[in-house]
Amino acid sequence: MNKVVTIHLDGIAYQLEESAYDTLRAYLDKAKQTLAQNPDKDEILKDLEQAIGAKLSTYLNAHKQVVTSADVDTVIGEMGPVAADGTGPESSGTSSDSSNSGWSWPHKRLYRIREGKVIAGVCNGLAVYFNVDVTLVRILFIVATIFFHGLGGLAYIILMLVLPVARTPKDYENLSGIPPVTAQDLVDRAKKSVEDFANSAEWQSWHHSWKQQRNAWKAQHKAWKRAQKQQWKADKYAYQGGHHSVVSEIFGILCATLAITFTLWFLYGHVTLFHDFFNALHNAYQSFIDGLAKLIDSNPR
Amino acid sequence: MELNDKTNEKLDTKQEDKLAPLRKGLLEMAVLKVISGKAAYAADILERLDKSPFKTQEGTLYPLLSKLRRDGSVSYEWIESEAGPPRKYYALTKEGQATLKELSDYFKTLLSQLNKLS
Repeated sequence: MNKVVTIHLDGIAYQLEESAYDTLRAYLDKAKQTLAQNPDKDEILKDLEQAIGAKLSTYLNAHKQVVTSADVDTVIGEMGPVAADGTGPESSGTSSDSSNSGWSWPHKRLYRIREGKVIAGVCNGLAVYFNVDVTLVRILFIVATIFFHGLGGLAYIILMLVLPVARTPKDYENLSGIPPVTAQDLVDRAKKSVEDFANSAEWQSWHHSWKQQRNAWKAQHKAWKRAQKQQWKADKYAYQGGHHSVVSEIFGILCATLAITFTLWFLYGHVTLFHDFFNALHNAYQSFIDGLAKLIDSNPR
Repeated sequence: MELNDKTNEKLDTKQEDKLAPLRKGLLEMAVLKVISGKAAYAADILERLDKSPFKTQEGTLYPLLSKLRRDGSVSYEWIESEAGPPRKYYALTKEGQATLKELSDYFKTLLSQLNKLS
């Protein structure tokens, strides 16, 4: 069962799957942006909508009344990217790079990506934003945590609290600066860009041993996950579905708490400023308690 | 252009990069040519171009048609269709005919000059 969104294109109503709607919305928003300087913007958009509507109609019949995500993908593929004035980026090979002057991307924005996350998706988001493999980002965070007084952990927590989660295709677009697709595509894309590096011999020998280690971890993690799952299943008050997300959320919060504690403890031990701050805090608390005690003493009943 | 074979992708892309701008530059002429015979609506034009090297998509054609209309080369009128909503039928204006002739002549000149270079 999926939610359906009803829209109208040039006066005719269509029912779309929610994900199909998101994709279409993103396409039309992009078109609007591209045509922003075009004096006939509204008319062209209307023509485009009409053409999309006509194409969508061919996918519908008495037994299929809802436009699916795949239908919209096909139709948008047929429509092609909207050119600024008909001499724009059409079929110029694969050069959908930022060098294309006809397209103006919005400024990139950072988001968290929940798909394939380990803790809260911060590293995933950063990886897509900078177009690098997420593993690299994770390693950097770990290194930063270990060698720089817990800085990585602190940065992670701040980012986790500050960054919104990417939900709509629009979010993903803002994040990566490229229009289409699913989160997985973006993650894959980022992965691909470090493929060249991955081909160097030095890296590969290191990578091999790392892989073995990782597989061992993976097996461990799987076993742990299986145990967790069974536990959840056994629990008759467990939520229907979403076991995993609850477990990983709790795991994330646990990690975050540990990291915060560790960071604060480390800072307290190594940075005078923090030391003084916490001592001052302690003193203030102490004097407050003392004051309270005095107040109670001086007013028996 | 779709590239099926991955191994040839690099080579084809390289050639594609050289050929695509040529086609792009001639697209306007191709569209004018298509509607010079008989008034046509967008899907018609796309179908005609589909079989030619100038194959294009709505996302490109609509902005181009609107630009040609602003230039005064084409005009359209709404014509009822038996199936679905009324359609915009595009036709060449007098000005458009002149533009097309100018473009074709220039293209021919370019070709002959090019041949002379060898």
